Order: sequence, then C-alpha cells, then structure tokens
Amino acid sequence: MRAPASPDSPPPAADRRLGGAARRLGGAAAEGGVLLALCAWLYWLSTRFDSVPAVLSQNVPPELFPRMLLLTIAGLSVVMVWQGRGIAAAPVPRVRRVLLVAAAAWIGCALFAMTGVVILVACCAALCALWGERRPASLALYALLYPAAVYVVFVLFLGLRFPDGVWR
Amino acid sequence: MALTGAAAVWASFQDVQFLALVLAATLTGILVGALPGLSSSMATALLLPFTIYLQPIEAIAVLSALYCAGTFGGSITAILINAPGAPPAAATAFDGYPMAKNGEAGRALGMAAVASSLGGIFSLITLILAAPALAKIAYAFGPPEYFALAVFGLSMLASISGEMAVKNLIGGALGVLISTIGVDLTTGVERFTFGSPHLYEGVHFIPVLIGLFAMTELYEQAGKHKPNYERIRLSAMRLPSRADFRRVWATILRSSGIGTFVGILPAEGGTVAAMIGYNEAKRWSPNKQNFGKGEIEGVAGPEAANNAATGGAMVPTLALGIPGSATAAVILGGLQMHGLRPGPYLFEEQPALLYAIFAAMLLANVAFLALGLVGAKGFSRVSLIPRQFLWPSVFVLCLIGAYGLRHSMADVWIMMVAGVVGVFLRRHGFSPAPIVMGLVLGKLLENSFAQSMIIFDHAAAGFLQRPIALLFFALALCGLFFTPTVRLLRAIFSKSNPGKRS
Repeated sequence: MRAPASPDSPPPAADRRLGGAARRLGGAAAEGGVLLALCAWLYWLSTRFDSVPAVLSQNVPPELFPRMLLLTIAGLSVVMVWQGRGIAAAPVPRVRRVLLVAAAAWIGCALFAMTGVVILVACCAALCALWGERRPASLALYALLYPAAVYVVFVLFLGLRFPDGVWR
Repeated sequence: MALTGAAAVWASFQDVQFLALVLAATLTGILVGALPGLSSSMATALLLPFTIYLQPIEAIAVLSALYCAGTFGGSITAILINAPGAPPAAATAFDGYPMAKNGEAGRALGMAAVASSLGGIFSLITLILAAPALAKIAYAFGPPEYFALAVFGLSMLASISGEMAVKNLIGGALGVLISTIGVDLTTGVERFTFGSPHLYEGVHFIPVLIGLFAMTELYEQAGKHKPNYERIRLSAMRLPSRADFRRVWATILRSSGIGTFVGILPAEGGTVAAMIGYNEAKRWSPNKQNFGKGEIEGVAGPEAANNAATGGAMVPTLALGIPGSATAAVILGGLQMHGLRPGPYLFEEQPALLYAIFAAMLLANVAFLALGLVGAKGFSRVSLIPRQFLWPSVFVLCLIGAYGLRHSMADVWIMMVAGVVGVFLRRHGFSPAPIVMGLVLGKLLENSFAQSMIIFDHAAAGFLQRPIALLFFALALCGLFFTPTVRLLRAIFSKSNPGKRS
C-alpha cells in the first residue's frame, strides 16, 4: 500500500505538501499528530466534566475511563509514528467527484429534514447524474420510481413516518 | 436436550413466515455478496434498523442467514470476473478466475458452493456443540472476567493484519471512546455531549455502523473509475464430480476446522480464515505447483474456510457477547437493539432464539447451494447493475435506515459524520471494523471495569487475584506482542547469521 521512501527518488506530490519535517518522519507523523492533538483536546474536555463526590461516583469518577482510553490512544499513536518513520505518505486519490457526491448527500440530508420524502427525488436525480448518468429518460424514471418504491415500502407498508417539514 | 433442540429447529422450518424471511435473506445475501463493493457487514448494517419491524427471533435469524449467504456470494464474482464481491472471497479469485479462464467456470462455482456449504455446516455443528459449553463456563464469569475478556477481544484486533496492528488497536480504542459519549449512568455527569441533548443518551451504534460501512464505501466508490471487468461466459454451475471430491475432501475438512477456529477467535473473520485456508491448502496439496493457475483445491480451501468462519464467529458472539467478526459485531448490535443480552443467560432464557439462529444458518447454508446451482448465471449478472443507480439507492437506504431507527434527524447527522470520518480513516489505513468492534464492546468494557473497581475497592491489583481474568490478560498480551517478538527475533537471528538469510 505504501512505498518506502527512497533518498534517490523525488518525493510524490502528497509528500511534498507535508513539508520537510513530516517527510523525514513519514506520513504517519501527520496522522499521529492529528490523533495526539485530538487526545489532548478531549483530555482537556474531560477536565471540565462536572465534579461529583467520591461517594456518589463509587470511587470510579466519570472521567477515569475516557482518560484511560485517551492515554492508550496517545501511546499507540506514538508507536504508530515510530513504526511509520521513513515511510512516505500515500498519494491522495481523486477527490473531486467524492466532494460533489458528499455535498449532494449533505444537502439532501439537510433538505430531508425540511421537506421529507419529496427531496429523495431530487437527491436520487442529483446523485445519479453525478455518477455519470446522462440519459434524461433513465434519470427521470429512476428518480421518480425509486423514491416512489421507497415510499410504498417504508411509509405505506412498514408505517415509517418521514419528517413532515414544510408540508406539516 | 438434543432431541428438544432438533424438534425446535424442525418447528422453525415449518413456520412459513420464518422460512420465507430466511430464504429472502439468503437470496439478498448472495446478491449483495456478489456485488463488488457491497459486503455482508455493510448489508447487515443497512438491514439492521429495518429488523425493528420483525420479531427478535426473526430479526436475528434474518441477519444470520444474510451473513452466511453474503460470504458465499462473493465467490461468484471472484470466479467469473476476478472481482471478489466481498473481502473473504479474495483468496477464491487466486485459482477460481484462472479456472474460469480455462473454461471451467461451472466446475469452480460448483466447488465453491459445495465447499462453502460444507464449511458452513461444519462450523454450525461446532456452534451447536461449543456455544452452550462455552456459555456454561461463562457462568463463572464476574465483572473482572468480562473486563479481561473484552480487553482480550480488542487485543485480537492487532492480529487481523500485522501491517496495521497499531492502527486497528487505535480504531478499537476510538470505538470504545465513542461509546463513552453521553450521560454517565452512575453519576449523571455529561461526557463529550457538547451541550447537545441529542447526545445525552449516547451515540447509538446503528447510525455509526451505517456511516462507517455504507456511507464510507459510497464515498470511496464515488472516487473510483468505472471498473472494466473481463467477463467469463458461464453455461451452468456444475456439482463437483466424484474425482473432484476425492481430491478435495481433506482440504475441505482442514479448511473447515481452520475457518471455525479462526472465526471463534474474537475479531478475526472470514477474510483471515480464507487466506489461511488457501495457504494451508497449497502447503498440503500434492499439486502445489498448479496453485494460481486454476487448481480446484485453491477454490475449495478458502471457500470452506470463509464460510466456516461464520459459524465460528457466532460462538463467542452468542456465548460471551464478544463478536467474532465485524458482521458478528453488527449481529451483536442487533441482539442488543432487540433487548437481548448475549451470554450464558441467553441460552437459559431464550433457547428458542438460539434454535432459530441454528435453523436459519443451516437453511442458509443449504439454500445458497441450491440457489447457486440454479441461479449462478443470474447472480453473476448482478455486477452489471449500473453504478449510477446502485449507489444513489444505497444512499437513500442509509438515510432511511439511520432516520427510521428513532425518527431522529440527529441519527442521520451522526451517520453522515461517521461516513466522512470513515473516509479519512480509511484513506490513512484505518479499517472501520475495529471501530465498530470497540463501539459494540464499549459499554461492556466500561461497566465491567467500573464494577470490578467497586469489587476491588479501587485497587486494580485485585485483577491479579482472579485466575480467569489473568488468563485473558495473558492471552491479550500474547496477541499483542507475539508477532512483534517473532519479527524482532527473526531480525536478530538474520543479523547474526547473514549467510543463511534467504
């Protein structure tokens, strides 16, 4: 999956973006750094949990277990960085369509709360088009029939209630 | 007792609704398994919220049948288009596809179906015998033993893949950390809720499962080019001849044993079992030079092993509440969702459920053999479903699955966040399965730890006085340090004997 960094070969584009220090340490350095920062932030959050008397917490305060986990993750992250030293970061794959699909999915979810089942038609059409469907008839047929089938099965047959949204 | 069990299983077969549901789940499992990109873990995660409409027994039976059939389904596309429908079928493609190219697609598929079926039935017999016995042992377990067992289960994540051992462990710990979100039940203190009332009850595992398994895969598929598979024409699936049977019976038996054992080990699943099954088939075969070129033992070995792992994985899941694989973790989630507590009391209080699971898995193992023989040609065409219709449909099912569970948009957002997080984690070499294992085991781990500390009066040294707990901790340490120690010793040995390095 990952190619070992060779001193003779030029670093890949993704590796160049990491900068000199990260390149020397390897791709795991960035991952470890993110995890350590996350652990530090969550540990700090755990210091802000409400305090409870020892008798109520039965000597197992609420922050004890999460902190044990955070320390474990931090320790493992250090091991991961150490193990990954000298290994270049993997190249970042194509993301444009992923971003477009993700955006459509997020917008679809936001609108689902407001409009309920109706948005599924637009959602199906948008995602289908993003995946490369160019025939208008197929696209329209799919965008109408699939949500209709979903409505019949889940709402009429199983009795699921979708958000009413603006149709309330 | 055995007669009662057999009668209960027979009674399940006479229940038409049960039969129809299990057969439908088997058919769905084969279809999903045959579709590259869709796995049985993802299918069970997607199906899980909808099982709320079923009786608990039917729901778990459906999930179990889907698990068995999904594992087999992957072999169809592995053999015919060299694209394993599911990860456990990857090893099947090594020899299945060359066989198909040599004009023996029907023979390879027939062997895959028979080996899968025999492996599945072998492991099911083990499940029927071993799970109640293991459950009886578990009666002696208290909170310290359960804590140690859960630690052992999570430590096994390190051995799923040697290259990613640390990342798997981090994933497992992250999953447990997610399970701590919400109000602490002992003290009433909010933990990592960020003031959101939606998080007071914690993060429900189902939206996370759907996000990590299905949404992550959806994003990954969005970034891929349309695959161009070379299809092998299939006239019909053919049952193995007597000569084939004579050649592979030992391989099937060995791989069934390996698969069952690997499946029983917490966290290990069909993929690991299939790889070991393939390697062992090659090691013991008199035709090892033919492996990779279309050797029938190379199909029988991994197929018997990966299906045997399904029954094996259900042993610790049902008897101890420790999932044997990622899909078993989802089924464990299903048990919890339906208010069933896995472990020894399940065997005492819900014998009907257990017999239904046995019946469903038995039926699935026989049904996919029959369905495979009849419809392999049709199942192989499932990979022709255009991606532009498949993945938007999966998205809609994700949305409805996450929402329908509690009619809550918060669950939808959790699913969406889990999907995005899953993409980042996967691109950096973290698998979603350990996170799911951690999430499902999280509550057991924390509660048993807290109860143990109360029992020991806050002195962790109390664990040292519990022999069973000590045994599990020792096994956990072995699981964590065995591979690195062997590597270190090999490195030292090869440095001291440079001439002998091969």
